[in-house]
Amino acid sequence: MDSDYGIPRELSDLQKIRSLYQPELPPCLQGTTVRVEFGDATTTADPTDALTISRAFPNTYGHPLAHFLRATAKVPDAQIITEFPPIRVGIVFCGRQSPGGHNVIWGLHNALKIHNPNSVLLGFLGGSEGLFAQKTLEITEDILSTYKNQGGYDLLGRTKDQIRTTEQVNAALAACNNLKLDGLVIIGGVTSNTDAAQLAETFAVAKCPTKVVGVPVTLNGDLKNQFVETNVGFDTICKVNSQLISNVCTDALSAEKYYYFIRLMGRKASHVALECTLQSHPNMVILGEEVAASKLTLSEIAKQITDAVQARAEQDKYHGVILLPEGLIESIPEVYALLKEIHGLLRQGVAVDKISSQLTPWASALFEFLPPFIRRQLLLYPESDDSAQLSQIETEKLLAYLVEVEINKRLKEGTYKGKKFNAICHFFGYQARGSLPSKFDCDYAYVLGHICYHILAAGLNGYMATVTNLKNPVNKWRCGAAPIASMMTVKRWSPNPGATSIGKPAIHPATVDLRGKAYELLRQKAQSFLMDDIYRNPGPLQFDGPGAGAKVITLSVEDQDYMGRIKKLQEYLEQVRTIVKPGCPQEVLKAALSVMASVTEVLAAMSTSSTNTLSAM
Amino acid sequence: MTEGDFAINGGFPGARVTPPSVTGRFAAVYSEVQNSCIDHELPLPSVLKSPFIIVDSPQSSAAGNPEEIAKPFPKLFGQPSAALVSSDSHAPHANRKLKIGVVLSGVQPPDGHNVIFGIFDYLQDLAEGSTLYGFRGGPAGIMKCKYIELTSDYIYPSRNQTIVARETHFIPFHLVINTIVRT
Repeated sequence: MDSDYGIPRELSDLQKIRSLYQPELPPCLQGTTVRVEFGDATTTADPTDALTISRAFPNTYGHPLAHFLRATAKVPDAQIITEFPPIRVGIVFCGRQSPGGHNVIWGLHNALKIHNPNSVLLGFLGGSEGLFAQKTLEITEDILSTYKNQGGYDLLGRTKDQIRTTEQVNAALAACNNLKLDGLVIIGGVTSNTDAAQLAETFAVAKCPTKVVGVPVTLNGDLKNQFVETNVGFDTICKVNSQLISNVCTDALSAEKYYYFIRLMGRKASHVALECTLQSHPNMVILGEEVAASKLTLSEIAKQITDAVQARAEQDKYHGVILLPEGLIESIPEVYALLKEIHGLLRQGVAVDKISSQLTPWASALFEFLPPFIRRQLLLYPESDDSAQLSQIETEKLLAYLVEVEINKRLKEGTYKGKKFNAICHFFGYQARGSLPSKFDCDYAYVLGHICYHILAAGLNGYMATVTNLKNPVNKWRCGAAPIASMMTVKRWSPNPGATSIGKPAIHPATVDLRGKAYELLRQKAQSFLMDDIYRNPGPLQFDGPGAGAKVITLSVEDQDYMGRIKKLQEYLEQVRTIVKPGCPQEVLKAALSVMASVTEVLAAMSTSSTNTLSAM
Repeated sequence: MTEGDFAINGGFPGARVTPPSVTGRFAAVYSEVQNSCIDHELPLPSVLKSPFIIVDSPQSSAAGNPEEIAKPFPKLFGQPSAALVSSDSHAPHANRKLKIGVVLSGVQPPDGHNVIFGIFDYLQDLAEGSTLYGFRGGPAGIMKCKYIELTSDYIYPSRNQTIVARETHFIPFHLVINTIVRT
């Protein structure tokens, strides 16, 4: 099995052409004279989390932002790194495969070799389990040649996506010490990067010289915060899925007799579903975040869909396409509670066939209400990130079944007078996940790989590679790094009224922001999507020509470049510090004090208000 | 937020938001790839780019059992094949104004639309004043006389795209004959 990793492959013509594509580097990363500037110490999005996180991560919390600048950047206190000793770096695929992951390795390898040809990059075979077992493959240009700009994770493979238990952490520590690693790069999503942060803290405590670096690679698009605008893989997944969806839309429009229920891979949050909706214009999308916010029940969701079907039937339309995220099932409060009970019993060792008799009465009633195929799927053991096996739960069939039941009921009552309701169900997950990466994902991943090198060269531990200003061309991208701990939040969960427990700090998946611009765009168009069939086909993934440069809409529509703005703010503060020095005129000093007092007052009020809003959500 | 604020409530039942389109296609929302496909110039064999005449070729027969096939098709069986041959001028009938109906039948494949555009472009260029009718909803459209005149505006959004509006509808041959006779 291990011997299959990293072998040269027979590539098709298209794969060969793609393997020859050389991603561009932004100016700030070109050459061997990259400079690093440190900003202010970081804090958390929610100030009330700061204390808890700083206690859990005393050695890695609160460290400054790092900005990587070109040699000619006019920044007074930027560090110029002039020595490049050979270093040994390990890299490991954690998290599910996402298109573009291979390019992170390529970028890192390229950066290592141009700075010192004697540096070594070791890939851990089989993901985290390869790390524990110290199974490595030295990455070379030859090995990389058939993996550049290709999809999948089969250069190194992946297994269990977890570095969390004491045994696992100790095994990782032993591996890094035995292999004398200067750096360990972990490629993954929210769970893997949370593990990376914990590992970095553990290494710091143990005085292990290995620095831990995280890279935001996940097709789910849910590793999103002030520092991370999007994830490697998300662009590709959404484009490939949108083409498949729009083909189904055209087929629906042609035959005019089927409703298609399409469930999309993307874990708990609905980023993939939202983006695909904006790209392909299906009739309807059920976002998990809306369901959770409204506390909709299964029956209510089915009713919403049935009402939509009826409204279209009144216009003599009997076709449609409905998207739903795989995380939807966990966003329905009563199903979520049922799943929690089932998972609790599973962890106690209760046999699967005995679980239904040990549920609470209300959970048992819901369980019996559900069709047998769904019951079997809800009984599956949870994933390593503690969520249900979302890819295996056929929520699309459940909803289609419930809608059919509702339509038949209305037919009998005489309130629905249209034609028969026909549903066809699809799950789009693995097809897109294995795609060749898009041009954007190739570029983004390659640049992140380079940034990993610069993080290690700067001696940083527990940082994540970041790029901001991504909606602009590559030559405008801003490269930097942020402490992973600054991206964490603390979820507070009360199993019973009055009882409060403080959760463990982690990078929690970002949910779709129901106050964000992308969601607002959906709301504006939802009525037209529903009734007018304004389907849109983005075409197959384009590597050149029209459509090749398209960016995902949820990236383009938002105002981003948080890192750029932080730098701008620092520049202003520096100017103030320069202008207002002891000895300056009295009027200047007074004006500065007056302005600063006002600014401080406004910002303090906003910060408090923001906290209250977050608490209210 | 109230329940009505969410996208899944969609604001229905309600009036259309987008201006109605007779084709069911909206070029305004097309992607870059779709737009580049629409404007893609397709190649033609050289014989179709210049004047040609139709030359009769040998009489046709059948793949097998010619006598049995001749019986239900007495007028059609045995007709000569036709070859398009380059010529100095068009055949005499080329400028005649024609009325042609087109119907999509069978399961929708990609590229079905382009047959329609080929016919349309030919009539525009070489048989000016002709009319092309599309039957709506597949073969059932012939029987119900549901058709629309195809114009340049109408067919633009569907160029080099995929099929619109067919029905899985098999019509026994004798019913077609009866329909034509009644008309």
